[in-house]
Formats: sequence, structure tokens, C-alpha cells
Amino acid sequence: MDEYKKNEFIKAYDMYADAIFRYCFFRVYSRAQAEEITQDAFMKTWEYIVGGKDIKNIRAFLYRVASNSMIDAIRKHKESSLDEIMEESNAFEPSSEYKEDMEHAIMFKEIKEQLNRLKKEERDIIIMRHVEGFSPQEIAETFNISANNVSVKLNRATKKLRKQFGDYYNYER
Amino acid sequence: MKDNFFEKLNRTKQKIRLNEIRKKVMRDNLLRFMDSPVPVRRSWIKRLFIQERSKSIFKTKNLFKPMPLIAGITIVTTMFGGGIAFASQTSLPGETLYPVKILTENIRGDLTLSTEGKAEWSVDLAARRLEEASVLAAAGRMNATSSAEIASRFEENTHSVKKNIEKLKEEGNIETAANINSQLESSFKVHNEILVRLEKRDPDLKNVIGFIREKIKEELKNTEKEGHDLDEVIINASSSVKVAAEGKIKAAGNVIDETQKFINNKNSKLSAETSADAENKLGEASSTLLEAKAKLNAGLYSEAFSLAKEAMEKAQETKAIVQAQALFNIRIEDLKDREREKEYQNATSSEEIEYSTSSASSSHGMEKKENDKEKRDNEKDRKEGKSLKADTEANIHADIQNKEEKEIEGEGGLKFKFEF
Repeated sequence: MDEYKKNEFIKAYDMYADAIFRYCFFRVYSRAQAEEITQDAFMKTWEYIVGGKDIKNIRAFLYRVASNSMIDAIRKHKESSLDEIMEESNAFEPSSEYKEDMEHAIMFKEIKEQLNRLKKEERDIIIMRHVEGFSPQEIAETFNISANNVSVKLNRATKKLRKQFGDYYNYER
Repeated sequence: MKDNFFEKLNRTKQKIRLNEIRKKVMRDNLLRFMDSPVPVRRSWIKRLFIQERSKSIFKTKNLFKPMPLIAGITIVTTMFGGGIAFASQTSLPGETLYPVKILTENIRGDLTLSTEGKAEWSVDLAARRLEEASVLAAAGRMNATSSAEIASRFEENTHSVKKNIEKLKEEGNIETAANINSQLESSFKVHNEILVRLEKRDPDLKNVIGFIREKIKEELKNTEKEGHDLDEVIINASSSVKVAAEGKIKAAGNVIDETQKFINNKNSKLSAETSADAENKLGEASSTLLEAKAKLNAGLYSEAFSLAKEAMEKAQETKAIVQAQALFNIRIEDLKDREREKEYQNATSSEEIEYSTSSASSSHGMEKKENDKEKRDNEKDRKEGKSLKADTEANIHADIQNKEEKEIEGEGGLKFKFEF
């Protein structure tokens, strides 16, 4: 296989592996699964390249492949139990204070609940925008939808989250 | 006070990262995948995560004739209850119960589920080999065969530790891996020092101890390198050197506390002097930790990290010393007891001893076998005109009375009191 293509591809891994992982993690909430899907995404992409096809925007391609893989993974995901919260708190980089880990875990659970109340496309877009830092234009390109579409969805989702989160806190107090 | 959703999202996302080691493992897998015509797929991650529940405890090295499964289960349940298994724990290479000891060690290792547990057990096993060496050497019973056997098992145990450290790294548990590596290193240093002193006191031992000491030297190089590598990973993987230093300080504090508890437990088995010496050393570790905290407050994070590491090492060395001394004392006492037993049997073996016709459970079967073999051994020794009693007891007595506490400067510059 072409040495050049191999090198380019591994460079893409070095550059994007973390981002893809994070993207997956915010969808499946399991470190192990996120890693597996990430690895899988890269392998599938490589197979596509080996098949002779050309990829113009590998970053976008990787996100798409990962997104597709996750549809199956999410179907298998069950509701969070306390054990899972603890498992998730291990997902964070070890901090010097146990308390900090717990805080993060709790915060994370809140975020997860909020995100879960969105529609699938809205959730994706929020994650791409606010976690991965994609511009609406880039999101449009990645998912093959119009920029307009993206903006509309983004707005709607953002409003929803603000309201949900507000409700969440009002209810809590 | 409520952060809005996006602020929280922002704070959380920074913490979600691919672990350094994981990323590299995945990268290697990817490269292999790219080279191989046959795709290597999903199961690799599952393999990493699945606990080794399926590992059969009966896969351990079977030093006896193969037993039927039910008998095996009987062995396991009686194994840890007392009797043979318990008696075997202080046995030495060359003795009849030594294989039983090894078997129980293997079983216990297999029954430990967590990687951390397995790693710590392997560290203990490697230490046991070195203890056995020092007891044999001190009692004047070391020969080339025992030396070789100890050295080879030592290698196996050390290899096991390294394997488990790798696993811990793969599981992302870098700090635990570093602690265990450090424990191993401390154990090596302390036992090496003990063997050095034995050699200095009895230069004849050089032939048999030298071999083992070479191995320890080799392994020390490995653990030092591993320690540096792990520290690097910890520092790189932490969001800042400050965080890494805080982590190390906390870990060192835990080790110091554990060591204090350990010393308290073993107090009854130690002389007043050894206890005092241990307390001193632990005190040194505590002061070093205070220095580390001071550096942390002063914003000198790298130095704080190094000092915390030093404090941890001092505490671990202290623990290794206390453990070695306590076990040494026990083993020497047991050795004396066993020698007296043998001598008694020699004197009475001309009479027929009735074996208890107990049920055909395997543990009894083993006892019978053991008595048989010992009987034969004693017969043989008697015929060769060896007087077990005089020789070994004298040796042991002489060595025990030889409580010179020369603070011999060892190679690692480790100073501590050890009573032979």
C-alpha cells in the first residue's frame, strides 16, 4: 500500500483521534465504547481508502463514520445507574481530589440528562458546535445538510437547553 | 449559583480525553491493521476489559500427580484452612513442603481478581524468594541447587509483576502502576542490602548468593527505567505539573500511613531496636513529604513531585525492611523447629509408625506422602551418617548470636538495622 497514503492517514489519526473519541463519548457515555467506536471509525475509513476511493475531507468523513456506528451502540445503552456514574467519574483524567472527581461526575450527569432530551440531530449539532468547536458551515459540510438547516436546528436546540436547564434548577430548589 | 449549560459543558469537555497510553495502543493496532491483509477487529478492547474470570485455578503448575477434579476442590478448601498449607508457608527450597508453598502461592494469585491485587501479590512473591535466599544463607544451608531454584522463581515472579504493571498501564491506571513499580524497587534494594551484609560476614557465600544478586542488579535497572517512564507519563497526562505533584503528594501520604499501620502490626515480631529504627526511617519519610508540600505551596511543582516521590520511596523501603526482618525472624525460628522435629524423628524412626487410616481425601493423601518422603529422607541421612542436629542447629545458633549490627555500607547506600 502506498506509503504516502499510510503516513497521511496516521497523521489524521494523531490529529483527530481525541476529537472523535470525545464526540463519541458524549453520545455513548462509556469510555470503553467510545474507544471502540473511535478505533472502528478509523479502521473503516482506512478500508474505504484502500478500496481506491478518495476522501476530500477526512475529518468530516471520520465524524460521519463514527456517527453511523453509534446508532447501534446507542440502541444498546441502558439508563444510568449509580455504578455507571462512578464508572463515568473514572472517565475523567485523575484529579488530585476525589471530591473534584465526584463533582465532575455529577455535573456530567446533568449534562447527559439535558442532552438526552434533545432530538438526535439537535444533540449532534450541539456537540459538534460546543464540544468540538465546529462552525455551522463546517457542520453543514460534515453532515451534508444546508448551512441554513444547521443554524435553525442549532438555535432551536440552544433555546431548549437553556429552558430545560432553567427548569431543572427551578425544580431543584 | 448556576452555571449555564454551556459553561458546564465547556468545563466538562476539557476533562474528556483519550488516555495517552490508550491512544498509543490504538495507534499501534491501527498500524497493524493497515499492514495486515486480514482485518483485526473489535474484540481487542473487550479483551482488555474483561476480568479474567474464566481463568481456571487448576491451570496452575501441578507439582503432584494429576488429581481428579473433586479432590482438587477439596485441596483448595483445605488449602487455606490450616494444616499443610499453613505449615508450608515458611518452608524453604529443598524442603518437602516447598512445592506446596509454591502451589498455594499460585492458587492465591489466580484467585485474586483485580490487576492491582495481582501485581501486589507478585511483588510479595518476588520478595519471598529473596527472603528465602537470605534465610538459607544465614543458616548456612544455601547450596547451588537452591540458589538456582530461587533465582529462577524470582525471575518468574518479577516477570509477573512487569506483566501486571503493563496491564495497569493499559487500563489507564498509571499512578497505581508507578506505586507498584516503586514497591518492587524498594523491595529489591532492601533485600540486596541484606544479602550484601550476609556476604560480607561470610565471604564463602559469594558463590551462591552472587548469582541472585546479579539478578537483583539487573532488575533494579529495569525498575528504575520503568519508574522514570511512568513519571513522565503521569506528568504529561496531567493537566498540569501542579496536579501531578498534588497527586504524588497524596499518594505518598497514603503510603506513609499504610506503612505506619504495618509497623504497628509487626511490632510484636521485632526487637525494640528494629522497631525504633523503622520509626526513625518513617519519620524521615514524613519530613521529606513536608518539604514536598512546602515546595508545592511555593509554586515549585517539579521539585514537589520529586520530593513526594522520594518520601514514598523512603516509606516503602521502611516497610520492606520491617517485613524482611519480621519474616526473617519467623523463618529462622521455624527452621530451628523443623530441624528439631527431624532430629526427633531420626531418633524414633526405628519404630513402626502407624499411619492414620483416614478417609481417602487428597489432603490426607498428601500428608501421608509427605511423611513417607520425610521418613525416607531421614533414613537416607541416617545411613549417610549425617548428623542433622549438630550441624545446622549449631550454625543457626551461632548466626543468631552473631548479632553484630555493623552498619555496612551497601551498594545502594541504604542504612538500616537488620538482625541476623
